[in-house]
Amino acid sequence: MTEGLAFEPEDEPAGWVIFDPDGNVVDSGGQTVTEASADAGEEN
Amino acid sequence: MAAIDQALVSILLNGLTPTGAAGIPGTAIGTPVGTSAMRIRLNSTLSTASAAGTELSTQTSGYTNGTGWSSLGQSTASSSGSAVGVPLTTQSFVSNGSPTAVVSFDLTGSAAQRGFWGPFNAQPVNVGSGNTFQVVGGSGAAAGIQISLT
Repeated sequence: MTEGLAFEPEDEPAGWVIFDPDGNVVDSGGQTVTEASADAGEEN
Repeated sequence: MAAIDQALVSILLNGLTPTGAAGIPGTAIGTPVGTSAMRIRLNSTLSTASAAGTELSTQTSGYTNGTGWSSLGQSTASSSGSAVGVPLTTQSFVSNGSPTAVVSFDLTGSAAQRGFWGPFNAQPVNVGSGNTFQVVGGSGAAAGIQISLT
Protein backbone atom coordinates (compact mmCIF):
# COMPACT_ATOMS: atom_id res chain seq x y z
CA MET A 1 0.00 0.00 0.00
CA THR A 2 1.34 3.36 -0.97
CA GLU A 3 1.85 5.63 1.99
CA GLY A 4 -0.38 8.60 2.64
CA LEU A 5 -3.50 7.29 0.99
CA ALA A 6 -6.87 8.02 2.48
CA PHE A 7 -8.51 5.04 0.80
CA GLU A 8 -7.24 1.77 2.20
CA PRO A 9 -9.38 -1.32 1.87
CA GLU A 10 -9.63 -3.46 4.98
CA ASP A 11 -8.73 -6.64 3.16
CA GLU A 12 -5.99 -5.67 0.79
CA PRO A 13 -6.28 -7.69 -2.40
CA ALA A 14 -3.23 -8.54 -4.45
CA GLY A 15 -2.58 -5.78 -6.93
CA TRP A 16 0.11 -7.50 -8.94
CA VAL A 17 1.63 -10.96 -8.91
CA ILE A 18 4.63 -12.55 -10.60
CA PHE A 19 4.47 -16.24 -11.49
CA ASP A 20 7.33 -18.42 -12.65
CA PRO A 21 6.83 -20.65 -15.69
CA ASP A 22 5.54 -23.41 -13.42
CA GLY A 23 2.85 -21.19 -12.02
CA ASN A 24 4.44 -20.63 -8.63
CA VAL A 25 4.19 -17.17 -7.10
CA VAL A 26 7.59 -15.49 -7.20
CA ASP A 27 6.57 -12.11 -5.82
CA SER A 28 3.49 -10.01 -5.23
CA GLY A 29 2.50 -6.53 -4.20
CA GLY A 30 -0.45 -4.93 -2.53
CA GLN A 31 -3.15 -3.07 -4.28
CA THR A 32 -2.14 -0.03 -6.22
CA VAL A 33 -4.40 2.88 -5.42
CA THR A 34 -4.52 5.94 -7.55
CA GLU A 35 -6.05 8.90 -5.87
CA ALA A 36 -6.42 12.22 -7.54
CA SER A 37 -7.07 15.01 -5.12
CA ALA A 38 -7.10 18.74 -4.73
CA ASP A 39 -3.32 18.75 -4.90
CA ALA A 40 -3.32 16.98 -8.26
CA GLY A 41 -0.08 17.66 -10.00
CA GLU A 42 2.00 17.75 -6.87
CA GLU A 43 3.99 14.61 -6.48
CA ASN A 44 4.48 13.29 -2.99
CA MET B 1 -0.46 10.51 -4.23
CA ALA B 2 -1.50 13.00 -6.81
CA ALA B 3 -2.14 11.01 -9.88
CA ILE B 4 -4.10 12.84 -12.50
CA ASP B 5 -2.67 14.12 -15.72
CA GLN B 6 -2.81 17.91 -15.99
CA ALA B 7 -4.32 17.76 -19.47
CA LEU B 8 -7.08 15.58 -18.08
CA VAL B 9 -7.68 18.14 -15.33
CA SER B 10 -8.39 20.72 -18.01
CA ILE B 11 -10.59 18.32 -19.97
CA LEU B 12 -12.68 17.61 -16.90
CA LEU B 13 -12.97 21.24 -15.90
CA ASN B 14 -13.81 22.39 -19.41
CA GLY B 15 -16.37 19.64 -19.83
CA LEU B 16 -18.15 20.61 -16.63
CA THR B 17 -18.10 24.38 -16.87
CA PRO B 18 -19.53 26.89 -19.38
CA THR B 19 -16.33 27.24 -21.35
CA GLY B 20 -17.95 26.46 -24.70
CA ALA B 21 -19.59 28.79 -27.21
CA ALA B 22 -22.36 30.94 -25.71
CA GLY B 23 -21.75 29.39 -22.33
CA ILE B 24 -22.38 25.77 -23.14
CA PRO B 25 -20.12 23.22 -21.47
CA GLY B 26 -16.73 23.08 -23.10
CA THR B 27 -15.37 20.25 -25.20
CA ALA B 28 -17.33 17.08 -24.60
CA ILE B 29 -15.21 14.79 -22.53
CA GLY B 30 -15.81 11.88 -24.89
CA THR B 31 -13.96 13.51 -27.75
CA PRO B 32 -10.48 14.13 -26.37
CA VAL B 33 -10.41 11.04 -24.17
CA GLY B 34 -11.65 8.83 -26.97
CA THR B 35 -14.74 6.76 -27.53
CA SER B 36 -13.17 3.31 -27.98
CA ALA B 37 -11.81 0.96 -25.34
CA MET B 38 -9.32 2.40 -22.89
CA ARG B 39 -5.91 0.84 -22.33
CA ILE B 40 -3.30 0.37 -19.66
CA ARG B 41 0.20 1.36 -20.61
CA LEU B 42 3.05 -0.06 -18.56
CA ASN B 43 6.24 1.88 -18.06
CA SER B 44 9.80 1.18 -17.00
CA THR B 45 10.13 4.68 -15.53
CA LEU B 46 7.82 6.74 -13.37
CA SER B 47 5.02 8.64 -14.97
CA THR B 48 4.42 12.18 -13.78
CA ALA B 49 1.48 14.53 -13.93
CA SER B 50 3.01 15.98 -17.08
CA ALA B 51 4.08 12.93 -19.02
CA ALA B 52 3.89 9.17 -19.19
CA GLY B 53 6.89 7.08 -18.28
CA THR B 54 8.91 5.13 -20.83
CA GLU B 55 6.67 2.38 -22.18
CA LEU B 56 7.77 -1.23 -21.95
CA SER B 57 9.00 -2.82 -25.12
CA THR B 58 6.97 -5.63 -26.65
CA GLN B 59 7.25 -8.70 -24.42
CA THR B 60 7.25 -12.41 -25.20
CA SER B 61 3.48 -12.41 -25.00
CA GLY B 62 0.71 -10.35 -23.51
CA TYR B 63 2.15 -6.89 -24.03
CA THR B 64 2.76 -4.97 -27.24
CA ASN B 65 4.53 -1.62 -27.23
CA GLY B 66 2.18 1.07 -28.50
CA THR B 67 -0.92 -0.95 -27.71
CA GLY B 68 -0.55 -1.94 -24.10
CA TRP B 69 -3.29 -3.89 -22.38
CA SER B 70 -6.35 -3.16 -24.42
CA SER B 71 -9.03 -5.60 -23.30
CA LEU B 72 -9.64 -4.36 -19.80
CA GLY B 73 -13.36 -5.08 -19.64
CA GLN B 74 -16.11 -2.83 -18.34
CA SER B 75 -15.34 -1.66 -14.84
CA THR B 76 -18.09 -1.26 -12.31
CA ALA B 77 -19.24 2.33 -12.45
CA SER B 78 -18.63 4.68 -9.57
CA SER B 79 -21.66 5.32 -7.40
CA SER B 80 -21.96 8.01 -4.76
CA GLY B 81 -18.31 8.82 -5.16
CA SER B 82 -16.97 5.29 -4.83
CA ALA B 83 -13.68 4.30 -6.42
CA VAL B 84 -13.56 2.57 -9.79
CA GLY B 85 -11.62 -0.68 -9.96
CA VAL B 86 -9.50 -1.39 -13.04
CA PRO B 87 -9.20 -3.82 -14.78
CA LEU B 88 -12.30 -5.99 -14.73
CA THR B 89 -10.40 -8.73 -16.54
CA THR B 90 -7.03 -9.89 -15.22
CA GLN B 91 -4.14 -8.70 -17.37
CA SER B 92 -0.73 -10.29 -17.72
CA PHE B 93 2.40 -10.55 -19.85
CA VAL B 94 5.32 -12.95 -20.09
CA SER B 95 8.63 -11.16 -19.70
CA ASN B 96 11.42 -11.25 -22.24
CA GLY B 97 13.59 -8.93 -20.17
CA SER B 98 16.60 -9.55 -18.04
CA PRO B 99 14.58 -8.53 -16.14
CA THR B 100 11.72 -6.33 -17.34
CA ALA B 101 11.25 -3.55 -14.79
CA VAL B 102 7.66 -2.46 -14.27
CA VAL B 103 7.47 0.90 -12.53
CA SER B 104 4.25 2.69 -13.37
CA PHE B 105 1.08 2.55 -15.40
CA ASP B 106 -1.07 4.99 -17.31
CA LEU B 107 -4.77 4.51 -17.93
CA THR B 108 -5.03 5.87 -21.45
CA GLY B 109 -7.92 6.75 -23.72
CA SER B 110 -8.20 5.47 -27.27
CA ALA B 111 -7.49 8.99 -28.46
CA ALA B 112 -4.17 8.72 -26.61
CA GLN B 113 -5.19 11.17 -23.91
CA ARG B 114 -3.63 9.96 -20.71
CA GLY B 115 -5.92 9.76 -17.74
CA PHE B 116 -4.87 8.48 -14.38
CA TRP B 117 -1.44 7.14 -13.65
CA GLY B 118 0.38 5.68 -10.72
CA PRO B 119 3.44 3.80 -9.53
CA PHE B 120 3.17 0.12 -8.74
CA ASN B 121 3.70 -0.64 -5.10
CA ALA B 122 7.24 -1.81 -4.41
CA GLN B 123 8.35 -0.53 -7.82
CA PRO B 124 10.50 -1.26 -9.65
CA VAL B 125 8.92 -4.67 -10.00
CA ASN B 126 11.55 -6.75 -11.72
CA VAL B 127 10.07 -9.55 -13.80
CA GLY B 128 12.59 -12.18 -14.83
CA SER B 129 12.62 -13.59 -18.33
CA GLY B 130 9.90 -16.20 -18.73
CA ASN B 131 8.03 -15.08 -15.66
CA THR B 132 4.52 -13.66 -15.80
CA PHE B 133 3.52 -10.26 -14.44
CA GLN B 134 -0.16 -10.02 -13.66
CA VAL B 135 -2.48 -7.26 -12.52
CA VAL B 136 -5.46 -8.70 -10.78
CA GLY B 137 -8.83 -8.04 -12.35
CA GLY B 138 -12.18 -7.95 -10.66
CA SER B 139 -15.30 -6.02 -9.88
CA GLY B 140 -15.06 -2.91 -7.76
CA ALA B 141 -12.64 -3.19 -4.86
CA ALA B 142 -11.35 -6.57 -6.06
CA ALA B 143 -9.54 -5.03 -9.00
CA GLY B 144 -5.82 -4.40 -8.72
CA ILE B 145 -5.98 -0.70 -9.42
CA GLN B 146 -8.43 1.56 -7.62
CA ILE B 147 -9.12 5.02 -8.96
CA SER B 148 -10.82 7.68 -6.91
CA LEU B 149 -11.35 11.41 -6.88
CA THR B 150 -11.43 13.18 -3.55
